[in-house]
Amino acid sequence: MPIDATVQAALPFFTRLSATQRRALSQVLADRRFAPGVVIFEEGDPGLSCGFIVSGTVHAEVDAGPDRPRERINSMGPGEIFGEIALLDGGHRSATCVAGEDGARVAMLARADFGQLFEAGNPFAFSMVRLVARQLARRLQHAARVWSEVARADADGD
Amino acid sequence: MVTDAPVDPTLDARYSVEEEIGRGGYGAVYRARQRATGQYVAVKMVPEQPRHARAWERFGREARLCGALHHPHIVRLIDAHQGEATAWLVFEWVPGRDLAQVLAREGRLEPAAAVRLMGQVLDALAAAHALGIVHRDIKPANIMIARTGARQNAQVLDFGIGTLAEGRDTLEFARITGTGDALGTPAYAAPEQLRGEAATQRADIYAWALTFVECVTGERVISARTMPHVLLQQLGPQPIELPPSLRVHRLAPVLRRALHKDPSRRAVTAESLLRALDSLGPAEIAALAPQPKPPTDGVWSEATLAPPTGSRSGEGPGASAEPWQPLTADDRAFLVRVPLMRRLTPTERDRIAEAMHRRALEADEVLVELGEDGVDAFIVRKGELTLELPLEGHEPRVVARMGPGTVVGEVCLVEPAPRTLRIRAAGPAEVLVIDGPRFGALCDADDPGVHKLMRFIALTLCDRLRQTTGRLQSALRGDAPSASADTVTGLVAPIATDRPWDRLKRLFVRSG
Repeated sequence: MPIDATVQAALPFFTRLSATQRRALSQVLADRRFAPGVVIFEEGDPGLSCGFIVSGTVHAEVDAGPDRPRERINSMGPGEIFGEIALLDGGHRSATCVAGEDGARVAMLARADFGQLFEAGNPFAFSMVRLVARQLARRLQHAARVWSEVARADADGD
Repeated sequence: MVTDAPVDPTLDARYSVEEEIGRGGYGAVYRARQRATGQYVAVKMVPEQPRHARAWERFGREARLCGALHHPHIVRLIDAHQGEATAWLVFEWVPGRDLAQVLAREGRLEPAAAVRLMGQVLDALAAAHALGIVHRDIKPANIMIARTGARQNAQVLDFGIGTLAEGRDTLEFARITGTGDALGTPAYAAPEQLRGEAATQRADIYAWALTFVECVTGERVISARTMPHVLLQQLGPQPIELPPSLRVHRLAPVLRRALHKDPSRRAVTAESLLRALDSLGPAEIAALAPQPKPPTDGVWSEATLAPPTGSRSGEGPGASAEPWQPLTADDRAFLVRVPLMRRLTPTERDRIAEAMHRRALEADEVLVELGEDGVDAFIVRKGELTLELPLEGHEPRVVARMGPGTVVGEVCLVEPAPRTLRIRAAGPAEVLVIDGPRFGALCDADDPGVHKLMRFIALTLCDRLRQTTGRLQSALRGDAPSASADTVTGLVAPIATDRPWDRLKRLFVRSG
């Protein structure tokens, strides 16, 4: 189901796009609703799309080994993107994404559509690469700070 | 009392107004005497009610904060009053000339004086910013140059008054500065202020950088003579260009960062600018002066300024005083072999090369310090860089070693942020610096080569995030950690498997 104005209004990056860019993106985004606890995609699945959270929460969880529940490594809310790594590199999913306690409404963008937009020189795709790159950079910076703290604790023998 | 002095019983009870000494964007300025002490003061009358009640409240709050601001290079706010339709502020009286008058008379400042005086302004800004106070109107006319002892010192005027302009749109902003001080403020205001957005500390940084460049060159950076042209220069997509004498100076990267039109990419603080100024040696300070023989037609070219390849600071007569150099033909040929740049067409690569310069490093020289503002990325040209995490009371933990052709610090190129590691030259080395603000400007201009590069960088970030997630998963499962050259996972590779991973998990999961 294509997205409507409510979805557009909920996604902050839409406000930065021109009317033409908004139209192009609206045509390739799909409006999906997930009930609480529903798995949106599973770790190891091929990465075919990414999702923009319109409302609700999406949890990222990873396999913690046999006979153990998945470990939650991230929780994301409205305006955030998930599954964006696969959007760029097409690799397998590195985590399972599950709709949160109140469910989730998500605008999904297929990798194939994104690739076409980029190759055609669509400015939206350029903006998306930059947006996703920034998000990835922020996550890496966060990861680096966390690992640094662990390394310091390790050196101090904590 | 003078006949045209303001009529305000509260003011009159405390001060005897003597004469009008100026008229600026916010109203008239009077010299007055404080009745209780007899000391001279400067009274600024603000006749206009701010449009928004919130701005009025903020003015009151900030005036109280500014009253508590004691700094040797800030003209102290000693009294303030909000009436029903007017406000007045009383500042200590500082004899001397303002920087605009000094520049009009002298042309430009000697580089050493510019570094010292503008360093004092930075120190003042650092103190104000630490208290959450934004000046909002840094410009030469708001910096007093006063002889306070054996030497002249800078004192920043008008802290606390800028809140009253907040929320006014560009045209109104232009109108209120349209007389006397024609175009003065818009020529120093940050682009976001001209768009009517709230000013942050980064607006002060932008204005400081414009003022600093004007001090050393004697030329206004935003030089348009009409308001539409000023706005076009300030709000257009073209990055602010540095004058030729500064383009290859060691300060150039930090100045370009400070002059970035996008405040989110203007990742530089007053402290870090001050550190950059303080780190300049005498030759570097002297090199801030405009060159006696500028290149013909005023356009910088590699041929006119590039010193011989390999020349380094302090390497004998004729050697360049700067370790920062534009790219040579050899550097450009080298770029073809760098994986990051390989997929670009020659034209795209050349355009990106224009946003780069070469930097030579001594053995053990620190290229990037942990925690400093990061916006640039580096391609190792020669030698090897060591990425390390300083540990208090221990040897730094070496995270990775990067050789020729590898890219370092690209995360900050995408998203400016404090550096998470120290980067040091393992021996004599050279790096090609991708200048963050210039790269960002190419991005803003929808340069296809930069977008390809950005996609490639994003892919490398994806790879690193996958490694990080995989490493975390191994930890959760209790698998043995695997060695990795990645700068993130490399941090934990040497850590034993029985570390308290619950703590790690807790830190890793963001709230909300």
